[in-house]
Amino acid sequence: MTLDLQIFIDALFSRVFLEGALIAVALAVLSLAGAAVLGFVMALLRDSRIAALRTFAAGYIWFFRAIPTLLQLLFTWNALPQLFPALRENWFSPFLAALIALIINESAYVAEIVRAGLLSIDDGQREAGRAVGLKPGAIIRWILLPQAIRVSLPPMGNELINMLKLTSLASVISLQELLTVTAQQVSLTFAFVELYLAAAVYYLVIVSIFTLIQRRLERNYEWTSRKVSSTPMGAITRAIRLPSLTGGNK
Amino acid sequence: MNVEQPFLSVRNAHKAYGDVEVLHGIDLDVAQGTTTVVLGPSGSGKSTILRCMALLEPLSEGTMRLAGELHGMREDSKGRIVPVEENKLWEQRQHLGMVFQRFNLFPHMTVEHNVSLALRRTAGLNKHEARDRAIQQLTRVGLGAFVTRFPAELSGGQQQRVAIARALALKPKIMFFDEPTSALDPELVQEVLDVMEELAHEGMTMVTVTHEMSFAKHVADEVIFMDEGEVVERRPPEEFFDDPQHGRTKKFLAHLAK
Repeated sequence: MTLDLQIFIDALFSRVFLEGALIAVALAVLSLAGAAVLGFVMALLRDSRIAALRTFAAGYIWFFRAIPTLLQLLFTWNALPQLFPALRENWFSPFLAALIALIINESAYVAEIVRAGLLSIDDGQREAGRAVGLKPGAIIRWILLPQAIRVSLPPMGNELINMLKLTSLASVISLQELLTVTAQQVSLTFAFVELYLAAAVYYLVIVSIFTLIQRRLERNYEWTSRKVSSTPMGAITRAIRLPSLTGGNK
Repeated sequence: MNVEQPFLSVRNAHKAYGDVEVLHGIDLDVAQGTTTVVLGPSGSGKSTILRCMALLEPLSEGTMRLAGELHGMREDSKGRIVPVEENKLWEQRQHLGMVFQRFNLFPHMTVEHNVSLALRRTAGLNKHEARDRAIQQLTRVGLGAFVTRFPAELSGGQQQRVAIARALALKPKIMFFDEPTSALDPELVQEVLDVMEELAHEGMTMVTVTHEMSFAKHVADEVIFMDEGEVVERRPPEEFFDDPQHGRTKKFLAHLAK
């Protein structure tokens, strides 16, 4: 067995690997964040009282779940600029193309997750909101959204990990993410074992951090007065104005 | 207000779900400051008429007036009376109090936040005003010490008292109770009834669907007995219980006595 520890360590701490990993993480997190917003809207439309909106959302979910992610990436990067000349400018980068493609693709899956979350909420919740005179938008914002988020958090953790792995598909549109740079380095050195291992370590570390964040977020949604609200994630949650549901009222 | 003129009046109320009509023309009057108890076997439509009066469901036909004004309805340009659209009903609902059988507290909010939510988001109170009024109402139902708790940390009786405080906080003109003690363990029923009795003595106008006969006997000003989507009898409780007129009422009371 030949494993050159030096090559492995060099790769692990190399600038290209680190940058590749950061691009992968940024793409995964931003894609899921965008997909969460778009998916929430689709989930609401999917159960709208207006038939046309329901049909639109159902068609959207059907379409973007059916087309392979890889094809959506290729289409966004190669075909869209042919259709829209504005996209031939420099600002339309592989990162942006990947972000758009992944947000749209992922939002179709998130819509179903959020819909399950909304369906899990007892009808009495909506009714109590109506009974105290809340407007429809306020019922969504203050009553349905926080409860849907709690139910959606575990599957969304899965989705984030999935997204991280889907970012490697963006190698086909020359995005310099982790697996792309790994392949490039391998083609230069033929150090398959060392470089693949280094990439694997990055994925392990990133997923571990994701899992940790998910656990903290879930703890913020426990809805008891016993826990402390001064956790770092509590501060982050409040800072980005997610509903603060922790013990403190301040 | 003229004593003769009812505070809430329902005329010829019909309610159908698809082809199935569950209310067949209900007439009902509630005088201001009185407590009305609606009794009836299950399936009699008593909860349905309550939910219609609380503007949670539209009537299929008929009119309702509260303090002389159309209730959950408006006149359209041709002078016909039509239901108010769902997205505009909130305005009228914030002057009504509704208490549900299953409490329907918001599990993700503290008790105080449960009560103050609508005060802030609809009534337009600022954070401190809303908080003060929430604490005031929670103290009124004996839960001043529980404001920072979450609903799951309370007993059923306490949760229902929070729900009453939540309804009271909006200073409602009238309160509706839909079997408020039916989901409670027997030993927790009385604390909720005590709060309701106190409200009745304070002059709150209340309509209650319940199976608590002692509440109907001792607190109600009027008892309405419904069966199969119709009002069968409408009388003061002492007459209703001691001298029921209709066969269906007698059968219902005899069944309870068993």
